[in-house]
Amino acid sequence: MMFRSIRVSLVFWFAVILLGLMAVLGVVLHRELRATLYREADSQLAHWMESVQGALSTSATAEAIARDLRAVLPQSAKFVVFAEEGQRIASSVPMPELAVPTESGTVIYDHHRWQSVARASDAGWIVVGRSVRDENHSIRRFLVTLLAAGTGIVLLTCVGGYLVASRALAPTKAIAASAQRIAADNLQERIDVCRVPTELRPMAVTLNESFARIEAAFAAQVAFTADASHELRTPLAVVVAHLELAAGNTSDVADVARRIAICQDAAKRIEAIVTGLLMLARADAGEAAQERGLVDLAALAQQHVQAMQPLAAARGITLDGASAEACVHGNYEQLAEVISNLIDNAIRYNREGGTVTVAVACEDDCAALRVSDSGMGLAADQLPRVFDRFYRADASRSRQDGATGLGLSITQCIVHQHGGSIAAYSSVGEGSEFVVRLPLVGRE
Amino acid sequence: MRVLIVEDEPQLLRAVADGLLAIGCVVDEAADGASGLHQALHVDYDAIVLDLMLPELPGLPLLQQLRQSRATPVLVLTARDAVDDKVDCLDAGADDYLTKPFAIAELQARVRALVRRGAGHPAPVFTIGDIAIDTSARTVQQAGHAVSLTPMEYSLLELLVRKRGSLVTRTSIYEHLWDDDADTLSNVVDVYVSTLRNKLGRDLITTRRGQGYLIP
Repeated sequence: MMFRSIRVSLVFWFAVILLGLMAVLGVVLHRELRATLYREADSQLAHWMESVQGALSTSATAEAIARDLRAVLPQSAKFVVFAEEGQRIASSVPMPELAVPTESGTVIYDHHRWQSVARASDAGWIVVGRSVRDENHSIRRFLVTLLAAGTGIVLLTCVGGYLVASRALAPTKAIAASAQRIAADNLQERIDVCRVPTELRPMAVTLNESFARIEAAFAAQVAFTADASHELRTPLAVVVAHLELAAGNTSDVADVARRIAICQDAAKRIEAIVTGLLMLARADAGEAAQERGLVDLAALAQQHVQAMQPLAAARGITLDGASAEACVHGNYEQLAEVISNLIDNAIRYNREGGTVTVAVACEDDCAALRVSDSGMGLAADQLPRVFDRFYRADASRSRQDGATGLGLSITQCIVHQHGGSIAAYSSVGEGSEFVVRLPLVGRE
Repeated sequence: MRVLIVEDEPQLLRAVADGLLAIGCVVDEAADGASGLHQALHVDYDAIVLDLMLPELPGLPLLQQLRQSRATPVLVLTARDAVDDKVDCLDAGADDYLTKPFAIAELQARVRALVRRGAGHPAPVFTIGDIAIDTSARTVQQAGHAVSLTPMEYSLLELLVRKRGSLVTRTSIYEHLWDDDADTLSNVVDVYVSTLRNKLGRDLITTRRGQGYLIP
């Protein structure tokens, strides 16, 4: 049976089990009591029967038998003597209405125990009876008492069980209240696990872990929103300020033109950030990438190594590529973005006259793209954060050179969408290496 | 008024500088926190416009270090508009803040207000006898009639008026009215003082020979 309330269900099952136990106990006790009481009656009957049989051995006539029996037996005893044909030879007064017995033994009839014994001398039966009215009365009284006590006990158990269950469930109520309060106003708070009963501790711990995760996600969201607004506000401030200055001085055409050019640059930066954010938001929402096909990562890497030579040369950086054919299944533009982002980073955060090496190789069933640089490198505590949105390893590096702070986040996002993995290895002063692994596809 | 702008975004630095030049400020620029702090500690600026996100030395520690020795009014430019961020920057010693993006007109007004408060005279209009100097509109009236001053004459007058009652040395005048690059001749201040006396009356400005000038 199902109940919505744990308390009601607990009480119900308490009561059912207790009723069952009481019933079994009642039956056992009743049988035992009756057996004991009847055994006493039976032993008395057996005693009487012995006297009767002793008295009858010498008697012959019915009158004699009746007289003898009355003489032997006490006043309260009842008896019947049957002849072989079934007629009554003698009986006590009033005469018991007994049928002729068919075998020796003890029966109960009309609140009496009756013992029958075949007559030894000739055919026929002697039946001696004794009242068990008192015994039956005792048994009934016992049963009534038992029933009353049982009902009382069950009722008390129900009430007590309900109270105990309420008491036992009180901590869950407290936990629920804390959880509600935490969810509603203060995600930093936690349920005090020390004050929770042992049985409920796993639940409280799980709830706390959930809250911690929610809090972290919430904090990340808040930080991301703040970062995004910060990154957008600076170029926006440039646009707003220069437009205001240009509008206030329209007569100086050269000045206005210069300010428009500045606004254009700032607007481009805003556009790059918004595009990146949109791409990440779409990925977060689980939107599938565009059309995919077979892409030779090696050829793609080689193309970018060629295309980015001028950028590298401008910083006096040597950009090298070494590739073995490695085909993956993916979106061409997105994979191109991965490669160009990584090379761009490697050039940007390199030292003057440094090197950037791009290598593509087949490793087991993966195509591995390695982009390593000889730059300033990253500290161990910065390494896990490089893929965070808007994370700047070097706080002094501003975004003047067109970096949006989203490049590595986008790169990681694309790699994950392609079922691959990206890892960063670095040591300060020696350089960094970014390794992208994508599932390899054999060329058909 | 000489103002230091510490801002790492060159285009924003340009805009702020242009906005402050337009209200007659002499503008010094610093593109990172370390050089910003260095300049702020060595020049007696009338106000500092400080961005919070700076290379080398971020805005808040810069502010805290500056406050150990200088009370220069500081207007913070911040891209963060959360209450905690504003509280942090004010508690670090900022006098005011402006959230990006901002209007140049508001920036100008806030800098003017900061300079007034820094001079212990929050009202925008100073009056000396029958002369009224409106520092918001940068105009001067004598006996109800507008007096026409050149920007440099006005700036010198405003400087002396702000420090009314105390001696303003020639060095201090050069520091507040010209930036470090300006090629100033030693008698250029005397020229401006004499034109101001011609326009507003001989007794307005007192000369302390070999020391400087003051408006009593």
